[in-house]
Amino acid sequence: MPELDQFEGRLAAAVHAFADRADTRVDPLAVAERAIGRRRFASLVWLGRPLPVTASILLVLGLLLALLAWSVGVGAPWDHRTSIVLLPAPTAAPTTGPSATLMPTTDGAGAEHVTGSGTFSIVDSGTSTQVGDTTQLRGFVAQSTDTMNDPRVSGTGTLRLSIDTHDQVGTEWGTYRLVNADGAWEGPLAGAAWSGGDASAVTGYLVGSGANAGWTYYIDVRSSGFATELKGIIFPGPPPGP
Amino acid sequence: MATSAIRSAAAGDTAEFARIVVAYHADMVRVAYVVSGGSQDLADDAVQAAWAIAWHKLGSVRDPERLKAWLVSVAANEARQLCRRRRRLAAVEIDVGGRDPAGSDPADRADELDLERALGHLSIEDRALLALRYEAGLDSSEIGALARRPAATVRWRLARLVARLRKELADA
Repeated sequence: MPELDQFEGRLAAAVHAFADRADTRVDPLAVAERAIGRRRFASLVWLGRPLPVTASILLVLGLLLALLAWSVGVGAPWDHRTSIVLLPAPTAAPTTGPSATLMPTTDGAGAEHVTGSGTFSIVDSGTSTQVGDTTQLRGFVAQSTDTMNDPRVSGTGTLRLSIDTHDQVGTEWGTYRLVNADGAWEGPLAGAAWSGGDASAVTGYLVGSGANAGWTYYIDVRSSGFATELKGIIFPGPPPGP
Repeated sequence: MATSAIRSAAAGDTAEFARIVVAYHADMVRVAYVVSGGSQDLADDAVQAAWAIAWHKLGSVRDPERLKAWLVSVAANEARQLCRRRRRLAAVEIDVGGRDPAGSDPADRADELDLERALGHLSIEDRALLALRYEAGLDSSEIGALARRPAATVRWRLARLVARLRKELADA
């Protein structure tokens, strides 16, 4: 952390002192297990005694086979004959995070609604100039790795932005170029920021090249605090006219 | 934390993942605690949710030196969202009398209390910024990179926040 002035030093000490009150004791295995979503197998209880896991599995299998035999031979209690299908394994409940929830992966062809997330690193933080009440930031360049649910819009992006801030609100504009092994997308982005720059929305139409030639990627990047959501659509033809 | 350990954990090695939990859990709880305004329950829930995200997205961390920064920012983000969901934005009571270290200079302690009281009046967003800057020790560029915000914007917000706190304490 860069050197702090006297007031910032006191502020940092106060924040540390406040954080010292937190109880940071932890059972790491319990935390990790809950994070992974793993549940230990619970044994079935029979006449008040827990059955061994093997016996529990055999009992469940036996019940399933009996149900199958009944369903096939006698007829199920439902109006229509049902078939037994393998259910997907249970997955951890979705949690809200700093990235968008991925929709199912697309087939990577045709028009699509896409979502995803990306990592972000600043290549050049640009230069700020104060003009009256406006802070003008120019030359900001960042690189991102976008992981989307459609391979055509996953890849490495280069974002070039100019930002004008006026107290709690600001305008942002620039260009975005997204490259992957099959081609690229490039075009202008524009949007706005508010809440002191904590929230923003920028959108734009990116024109495809290479394997993406003839297609347009509409990208919508919404940030709130430390969460960023990437959405968009891929559609045939050029961007719409004014 | 070695790159190989992160890769192993990202590939599903639960033992490596547990080692990462041991290494960084406390840092994450401390940051989430500041963001929450002093709610232990909220901080614990936020960090647990952050570990679930980490389990799924650990592979996105390319540089092992960035792991701590990434983890605390995820924890801060989860704490922010939980605070909002629990409608704790308007007024978060902070217990400023919970600790009185023996032997500390009363004048220093008074300064500390004033600052802590000031922290209690901040918004969640501002506390998140302070937690990442002063508790986790991230600079504006790092916070900006994690928040997908230009570093200049982060500096702008921090400067305004520090100026506000400075004035608030001077007026107190």
